[in-house]
Amino acid sequence: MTDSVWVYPLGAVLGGQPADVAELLTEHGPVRDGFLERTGFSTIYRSRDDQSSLSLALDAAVMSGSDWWKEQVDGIVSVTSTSELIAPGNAHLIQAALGLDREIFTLDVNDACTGFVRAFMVAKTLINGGLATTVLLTLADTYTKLFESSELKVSPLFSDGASALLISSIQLPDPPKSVEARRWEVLAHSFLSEGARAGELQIRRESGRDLGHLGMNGGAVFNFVLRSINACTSRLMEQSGVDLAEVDRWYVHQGSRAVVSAVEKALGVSDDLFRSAEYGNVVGSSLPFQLHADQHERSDYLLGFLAFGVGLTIGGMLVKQTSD
Amino acid sequence: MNDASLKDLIDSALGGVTTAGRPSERTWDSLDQLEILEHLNDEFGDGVNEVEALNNFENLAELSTVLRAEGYLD
Repeated sequence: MTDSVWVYPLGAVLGGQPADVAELLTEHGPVRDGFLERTGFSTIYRSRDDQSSLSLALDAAVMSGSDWWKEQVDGIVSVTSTSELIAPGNAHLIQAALGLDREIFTLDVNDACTGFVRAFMVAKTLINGGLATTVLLTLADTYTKLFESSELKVSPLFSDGASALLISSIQLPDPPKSVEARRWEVLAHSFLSEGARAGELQIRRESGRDLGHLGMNGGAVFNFVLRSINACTSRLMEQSGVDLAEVDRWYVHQGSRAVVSAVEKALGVSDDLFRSAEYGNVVGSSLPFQLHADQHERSDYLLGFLAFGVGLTIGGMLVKQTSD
Repeated sequence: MNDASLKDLIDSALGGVTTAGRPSERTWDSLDQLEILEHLNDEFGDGVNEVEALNNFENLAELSTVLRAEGYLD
């Protein structure tokens, strides 16, 4: 059993078309005072017509170059809920596009906002089970292709983007200076699901929409977060013996400023955990984007991760991070 | 909690009484709902967010009916 793994943030990319949210609201409003403040995003990023979840995932994977890790990868976990093909999933296509070894374990995960926490645990479990030594984890989505700009329940919130990380049981040789390796020991994990509430946030097949249509009842999702977060964090504390006040840094899914503020209150933190005002809700990449931004900061940290969304589901983990 | 206290809670959640009137007396949008849900959670705890009917409400009459039926309102 591997108690800890090495984590290498490879890259984080956004869709190629930025859009000003205030202009979006002016065009499709009116909206009431305070709307922009409560949703929180000043800019969202749409993918171009030639961009897909696969192309964004590949862009993120090679952002730091690939020669230094390609031969090490023997597992791929790809997270998306907006793949262009129903089958095969993006993991196989990533293997081909990057020229990775044929002898490789590939896994496609249909998940959204909780994708990173869930897929990280899957990757670690693959490593613990001897199925892989080094896993390429990609998270990528093109949610802006799931709705019209006029659908203001969702259009001011979601951005297209992708992130990629390596998760390995070994310390990889010669990473570039742009990539800071971190050692992670998972102290606790917690996952709650309410599939009966699936209809409150879902992508449904729809004629004329290749990737489907996103529908969201924001109130229901918010209710779910409010009633579930204490159960999730209590379990984290029970498993780890750690008091949440000891967590040095929280990474929270950036659904909107409103929901992040509610999570801040539930966690009892004074830090501003809303970090994505300038790029939007990038779905499964929401936590990795924050990791990517922080990777050159202090390394010895107790990290907390919380994500919630499509399911409805909430996932959390506590991680002890060191640099060696 | 009684009806008057609920109105005060909602007014507080939605920015207070202004020259435009009491927020508790108008129709609410989705962002208003989030504010109210958060204040209800502060007041009553996690259990109130288990109430399915609170996934959709637009005005005081609807909210009061639900809360009364669930025993949160006198």
